[in-house]
Amino acid sequence: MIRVIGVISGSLLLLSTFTIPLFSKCPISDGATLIVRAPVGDLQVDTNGREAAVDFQVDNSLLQVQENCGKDVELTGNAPDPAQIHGTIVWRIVTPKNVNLDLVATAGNIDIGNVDGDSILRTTGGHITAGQIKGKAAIITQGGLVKAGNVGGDAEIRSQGGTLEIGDVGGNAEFHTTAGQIRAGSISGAVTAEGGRAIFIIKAGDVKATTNAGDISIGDAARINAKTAGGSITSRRVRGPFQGHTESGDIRLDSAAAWVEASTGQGNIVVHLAPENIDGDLHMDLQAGIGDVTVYVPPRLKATIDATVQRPAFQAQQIISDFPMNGIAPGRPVQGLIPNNRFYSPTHSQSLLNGGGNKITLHTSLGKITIRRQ
Amino acid sequence: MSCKDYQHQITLLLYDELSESIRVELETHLQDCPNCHEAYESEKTMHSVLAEDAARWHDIPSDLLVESRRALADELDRIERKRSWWRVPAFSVVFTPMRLLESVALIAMGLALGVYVSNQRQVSPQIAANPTQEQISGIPRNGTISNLQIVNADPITGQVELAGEISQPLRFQGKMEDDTVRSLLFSALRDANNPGSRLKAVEVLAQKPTDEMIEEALINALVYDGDAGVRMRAIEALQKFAGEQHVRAAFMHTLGNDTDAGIRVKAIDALMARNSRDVELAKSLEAVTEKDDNPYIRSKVLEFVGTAK
Repeated sequence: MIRVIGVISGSLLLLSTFTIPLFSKCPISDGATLIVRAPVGDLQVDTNGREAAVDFQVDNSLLQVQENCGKDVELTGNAPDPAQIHGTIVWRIVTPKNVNLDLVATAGNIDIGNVDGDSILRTTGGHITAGQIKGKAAIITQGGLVKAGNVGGDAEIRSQGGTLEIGDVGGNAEFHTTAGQIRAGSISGAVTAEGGRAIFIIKAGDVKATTNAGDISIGDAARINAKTAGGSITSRRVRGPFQGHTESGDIRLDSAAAWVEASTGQGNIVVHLAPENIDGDLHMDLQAGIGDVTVYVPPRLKATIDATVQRPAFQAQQIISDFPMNGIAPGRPVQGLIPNNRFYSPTHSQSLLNGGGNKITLHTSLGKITIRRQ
Repeated sequence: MSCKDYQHQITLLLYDELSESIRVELETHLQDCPNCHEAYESEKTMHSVLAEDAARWHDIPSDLLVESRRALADELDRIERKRSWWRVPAFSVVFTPMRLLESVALIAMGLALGVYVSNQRQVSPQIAANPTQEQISGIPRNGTISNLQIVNADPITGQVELAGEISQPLRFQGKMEDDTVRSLLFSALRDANNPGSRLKAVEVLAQKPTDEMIEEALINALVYDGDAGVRMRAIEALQKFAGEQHVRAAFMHTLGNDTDAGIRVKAIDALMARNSRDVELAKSLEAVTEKDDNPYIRSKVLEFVGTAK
């Protein structure tokens, strides 16, 4: 009997050297990294810990966690028999916020608080929620939504299908999702955003935004290159060049400081040209398949305007301009040998502003063109 | 018309009182006929002398011309009514061969007019039925005509039949309950070339997912739409109803077939939230997701199975 008790006690002691109990603690220093590899279950990381240590517990006895308390703290769980799992498994971790996080949940959600260091958060399909991350952030899920606060450094956020919602980003940003929306605050650096639905960015440096379906709305950017397969593209202010294309939807720029190239299959284009440097490259190429083109240009602009309506409406004015335009009837002599009459109303007009210069090409297959003085 | 007739119209031409067609005809004749042209020059000289003289008549009322025209028109009407009274055969006191001829001619003209009008209606009945200010002969002013073809052109009668297509901008307001609004939204859902339009249609329809027809449209979008964003928006709208049998069936189809892991994750989350402890569903989920390459989905199903037991 004593022998049996001794064997059991010895086994338990041996086991305790390799595995940790459900409650455990591991010291951690500033700037160290907390590494977690969770084969099952959700990860909940509370970053309000006051001690220089990581406390953790897992609420399921089937799961055994192995710890490695070195300079960095590493917690790794075993993969229990899935058939024996009943209900949700949750990893509850408390850590001080001045650490880096490297968390992988193989099949679960990740939820973290504010972190002063860098954060790498990955899951194969759950949702990821994060507070403020002062360092760099890489947040990747193969299916869920991502919601994060401000990120101090660069940010890479990816989901296969979920929506991405991010606060301000201090560095460059990359956002990718196949079926979700992208919503971001103010981004100091450049942004690459590929979405499955609408993309909203409040402010950024250079922006490259692409979506399969949905609007692209960028409040303020140094430069914009935007493309959507179906939706509108709008910007309140673009301080540099703009390139935009939509298969179907409007394009609207409330203030464009440099050259603009925009095209839409179906939809209207409205551009307010407000250059910071009147002598810079201010060419415009605006092409609408079905839709109106409206452009506002400053009176001091040196420009050569060329406006064409390919298929005029039955009875409506095609080209309306605040500036004198020379109408050119298709297939007719240009300079007044045969004056315009009702059958040859101008559907192709040209104008030289201040002697000509920046080429402004305005084209619609079916719609009207309006040129206004800014 | 004879030269005499043309010369009678020269005065009216100088006073700009001729209709467009007669004016063009007269001007053409004046270019070809020296005698009439001479008469025109003479009349024009006299007209200019009178005009110079008239410039000194400051006390002429500005509406004199209008009043004169109105008086003339009234007088002509009065004469015409008087003439009509005794000329109409039914009221004619004396029945003469001339009256008989007039009657026959009138009947023949009536028949011809009837045939003409009926022919016109065959070509485009809506033109005569609903002319509005924005339309010219039934064609909207802002419409664009394409693929215009000449179906028929008769050089003798001048009758021409045209066929083509008209495109025009559409703007429509109404409530979700309106059949037209629904039809337009459902039509947008079927626009294969425009995922943005389909997405917006789903977003609007998602506001009323309780409506049976709208629910069907959303299920259709979830199962068949080629764009992942549209499918995701549809499943977001439907997730509250994942407990209903037909919605559940659509979600099961999505779990088994959708290529986008994000949408499958949404489906499994919704099914688990709305169908707790359903053993049959648990079995079906196990079968459907057995080969899913996403560990999260497999794990969630196992979790659900464990809970349902």
